[in-house]
Amino acid sequence: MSDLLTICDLHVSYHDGTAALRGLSLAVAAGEKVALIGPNGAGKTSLLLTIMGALPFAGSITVDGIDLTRGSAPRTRSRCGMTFQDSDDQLFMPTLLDDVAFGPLNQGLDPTAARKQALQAIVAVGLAGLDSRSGHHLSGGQKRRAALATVLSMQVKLLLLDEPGSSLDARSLRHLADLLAARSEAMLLATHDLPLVRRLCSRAILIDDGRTIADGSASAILDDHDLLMRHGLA
Amino acid sequence: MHHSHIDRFAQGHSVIHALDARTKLLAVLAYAAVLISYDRHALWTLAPMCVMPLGMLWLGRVPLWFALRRVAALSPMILIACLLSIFAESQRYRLGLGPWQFTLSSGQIVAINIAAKFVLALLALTALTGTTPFSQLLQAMRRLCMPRLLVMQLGLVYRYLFVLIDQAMRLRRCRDLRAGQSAPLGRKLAAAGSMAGSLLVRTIDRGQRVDMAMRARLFDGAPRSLATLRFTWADAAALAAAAIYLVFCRLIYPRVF
Repeated sequence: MSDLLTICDLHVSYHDGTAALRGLSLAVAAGEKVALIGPNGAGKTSLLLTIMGALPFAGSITVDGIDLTRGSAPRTRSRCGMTFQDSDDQLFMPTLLDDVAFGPLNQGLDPTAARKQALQAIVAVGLAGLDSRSGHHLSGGQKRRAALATVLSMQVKLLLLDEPGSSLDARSLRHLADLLAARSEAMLLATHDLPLVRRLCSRAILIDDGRTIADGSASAILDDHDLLMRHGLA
Repeated sequence: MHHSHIDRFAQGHSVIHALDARTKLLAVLAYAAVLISYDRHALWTLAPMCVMPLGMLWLGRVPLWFALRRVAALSPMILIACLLSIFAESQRYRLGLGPWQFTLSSGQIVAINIAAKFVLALLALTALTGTTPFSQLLQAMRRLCMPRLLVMQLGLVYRYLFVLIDQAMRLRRCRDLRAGQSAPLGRKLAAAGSMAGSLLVRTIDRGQRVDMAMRARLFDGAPRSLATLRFTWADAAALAAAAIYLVFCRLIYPRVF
């Protein structure tokens, strides 16, 4: 498989000088589901935001063959979609349908095509019939799925999921895991939820303090209790 | 938490719900303009202006108590204007209502006029928002050439108002659980100040995250939307009826009665 996402020697610092990522490198192949695990403050969210072109960085990021720069960010964003930790950040339009059609309309689709694509995404995440609901009328699990629909409707190749299972009950988490397992897009899944990683991902990358600590098969990393203990995951 | 204060009855089915949002918005805007145009001493001539908001509420199956509760909730804002008017003008007028005769000062008449206009305008607004989903209202505003960014901001306010209320309620609950209710007044005020500051910071944070989420979905500053409104013959008839009604209220009724 060819690499859909390639990151080389990535450095990211915040305005106050705090280093979020220190020389991180990784690659994700098309269709591959990769878990990004690490303790709080390890740099998981910063990495996802940087891939979306939301944070300044040093190093190189290539998405689907396009080098990420300020000028190319809109093109790379149309190839990768991110769901945020708090789904309320992502559901900003008056109705679910408007929210899910927001991306396709900005991609230049006409309203009829955007509506069709949005309705397909809504059905794909199991929210058929709720398209006229407002974000504040959805449950926590529904909001997660709605947030996923907002990026699926853009027909992206890479999904960046930031803590997709946080604040979900067991049933909603199971639904979400089933939904993600059935998708063919590549995924980079930042999470603390190790059972979800075991269920969904073939590969895991452990990062801590902005650096890659381990990169390998998910089961090998999750079975290394000492490694997880050393990095606050067990 | 579950909120449905603003458009609680908007998803219903009735002849008013079936009308295009633009028809209802235009009718209510025209109604408000006519209401404002009445003289500040007008009392009985305002009577037929009750028909449209009450008719919309009745046909739209929006309970009157719901509308009156909203009027009551917002009435303190207008109360001060009414009270100030009462003392502003002292000239007295003798008025008759059927067999009853009574005397009112000019200030009292103005106060009643302000209160009546306020109640009627709010009833009309409640009838509009109670029979039209907010998303359609925003679309109607967009199609009626209101500035697109302003409409988008209204949409964001509507969407995040509830999130903000949730956060404020959570903060208040946390304060109360830490014996905030029994604290002395000074400490309560200090806590309220901190809470307001915290809410402001959270709101700014939220705004930045929403901006990031919008840009992640290729937002370039130009609002785009799906169009779902349809103007039919029923809408044309409703607009014509509203126009005839408003002309009758403003021009014919005051002269005939």
